[in-house]
Amino acid sequence: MSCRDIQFLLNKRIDLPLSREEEALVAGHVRTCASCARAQKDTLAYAKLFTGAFKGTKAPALSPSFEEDFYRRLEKESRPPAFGALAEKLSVLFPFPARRALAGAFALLLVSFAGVRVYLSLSRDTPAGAPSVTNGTALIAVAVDRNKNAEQQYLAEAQARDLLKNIL
Amino acid sequence: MDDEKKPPFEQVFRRHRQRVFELAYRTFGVVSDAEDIAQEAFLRAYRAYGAFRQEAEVYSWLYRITVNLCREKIRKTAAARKHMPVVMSVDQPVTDDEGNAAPREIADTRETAAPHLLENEEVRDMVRKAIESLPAKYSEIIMLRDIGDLPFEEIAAITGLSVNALGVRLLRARNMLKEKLKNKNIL
Repeated sequence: MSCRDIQFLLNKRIDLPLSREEEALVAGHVRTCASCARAQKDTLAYAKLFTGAFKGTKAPALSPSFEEDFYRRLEKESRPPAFGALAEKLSVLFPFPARRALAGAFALLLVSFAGVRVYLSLSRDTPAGAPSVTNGTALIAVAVDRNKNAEQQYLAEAQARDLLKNIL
Repeated sequence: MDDEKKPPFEQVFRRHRQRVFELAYRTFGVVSDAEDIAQEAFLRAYRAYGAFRQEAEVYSWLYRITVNLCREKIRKTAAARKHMPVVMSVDQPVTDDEGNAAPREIADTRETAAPHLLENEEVRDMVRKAIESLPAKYSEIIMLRDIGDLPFEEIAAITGLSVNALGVRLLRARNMLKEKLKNKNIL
């Protein structure tokens, strides 16, 4: 029997008891082969290590709240975000296939409208003299979009000057 | 198998939760970690259950998810330890503003592993890291057989290998792992 066959049997012995014939073959071989004798020693140590540290571990029962905790996590994960929930509710208004998309767009409009309303109400409370941008698009067009239009550049410069004046 | 024949997810959860937990518990030896992994495994399974066509058995699929999660956790723990600064010695006394020394008191908030596991914890940690450093197809097989103690037939179903091919792969995986453990003076 070759060393390869013996090592296969040694490995098998970790999982199942060998037959009497197989044991005899291994014993006969390792008496005359130093390499397989070493492999046998390593394999026994390996089996012992795993039985002691992992395999032999008896797992306790799951804690009683395991199922409840799991369903709580599942519910939390499946809950749609606020915007999704609004779109879901509005979808009943559109009784045709693309209703989810339309409801989503409608919900987006509603949210935007609410945002503008809040912005306007807050703007009214801005104290006099506080820095404000009358036409932010000019500043953005020049500073961000690098617009070279002379009129836009002039407007942006004037606005920037006003802003600096208010800040400083 | 079509969706009508597929068991409801609740049934899958109830049937396999203890075994999924056991695999994670054998790997980490701490109930809270194992429960967390088991829950995450079922969450991942739930997300994909609609697309699951049962070409494989449900438990095979669940174990594969669990093994991957265990490997992820081993990787993350190893990475976190690598970056953890060593700040102080627990034996070093604390000194107050006036220079008086007093013994340092540290609350141990860790969940304790079962006592029989505790003495092995350092070794277990090194073994887990050595397993994780193997190529995925070998570490998976070691985790299922040598940690999870699953029978050959189940591992063959999980991995899609024949029992003979599984034996060959297991032999290779164990030989590679033995070398790594010898290098760390564990074997």
